[in-house]
Amino acid sequence: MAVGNLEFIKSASGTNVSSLSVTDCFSADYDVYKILQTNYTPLSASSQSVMRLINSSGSVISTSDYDYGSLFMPSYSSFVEDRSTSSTFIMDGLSNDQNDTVGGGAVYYLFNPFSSTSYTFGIGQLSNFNTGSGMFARKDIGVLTTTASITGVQFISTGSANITTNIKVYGLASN
Amino acid sequence: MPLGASRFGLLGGVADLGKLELIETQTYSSAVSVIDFTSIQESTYNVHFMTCSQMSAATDNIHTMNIRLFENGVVETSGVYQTARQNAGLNPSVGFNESRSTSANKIALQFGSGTATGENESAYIYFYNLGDSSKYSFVTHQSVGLTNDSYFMSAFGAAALPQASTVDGIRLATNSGNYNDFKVSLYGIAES
Repeated sequence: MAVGNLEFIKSASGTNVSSLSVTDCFSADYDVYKILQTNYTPLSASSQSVMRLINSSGSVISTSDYDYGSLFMPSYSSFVEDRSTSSTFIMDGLSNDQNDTVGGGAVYYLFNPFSSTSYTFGIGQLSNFNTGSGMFARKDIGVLTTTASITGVQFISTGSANITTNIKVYGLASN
Repeated sequence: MPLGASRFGLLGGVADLGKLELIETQTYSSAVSVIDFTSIQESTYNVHFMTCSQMSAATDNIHTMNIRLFENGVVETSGVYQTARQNAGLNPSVGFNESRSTSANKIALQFGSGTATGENESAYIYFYNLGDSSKYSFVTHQSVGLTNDSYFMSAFGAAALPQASTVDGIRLATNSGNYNDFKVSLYGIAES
């Protein structure tokens, strides 16, 4: 294990996929993880990605066990609050129409994912662009309301389009 | 929000300093109105991280954290930035409200600070895709500080320079006059 402040753990890149998973990236080594999502492009239609968690059995948690809140902040219209106490995802990811010059950028933090005695909490912030409208931001919070031990993360396209995106996972040292 | 502590260690005699790699720190030494980072290693890093602290100006109610980006060595000053910001302040005239624009000539992180003790601003900022000439450049930010009336204030938001171009520099500036204190550090986040 590297002993710097921010340790690179794992990355994944997907091209023309319906979802992208980074498995076996959370462990007892860290309590806090940083995740970067970049270069998001839907390939056949506009699409949004969302984040789900992967448990220690390798299964994606897609049930309504997440609470989530997001402030949608467009540069072109009033801000909108999105929220749910029975969500099937923990946080919003990047979204886009089919403009591959956009890409976008997002940073997320997950707290205590590997713990089997604590919920997994998340916060996130992203900047993205809709070609038809303009730049928009999101400020996200989310929690998995079970004490499942989480070992990975998945970004899935919520639309019919396959996607291209890059994910990088880092652990934050605390000593 | 940024967490973690620096630590050093030796692996086979080689120090691994982690993947948050310091590019440059600039601290106040004399009255200036802009803080330019012109060697940002944009071809090395796809994601940059900046911290700002002790940001204050010579006079009251001055915005100390306005961002502009350099493209091929020229700072972009036209109304081409798109911005969205949620303000959260105890100042009764500001409160909790939205700021947004599709034609801004800068990315403003927060409203004005002051000159009295404690009346300064801090922030962290992420930059994405600066060195990718085929992609737009994106920014996310969060800030905190005291106004010139010593009201607590905070803001978070994002911005884009919706031009497929290479960004090779970052400018921080006041909206008027000079700084009288600042400390700004720029990092690259290594990808392996």
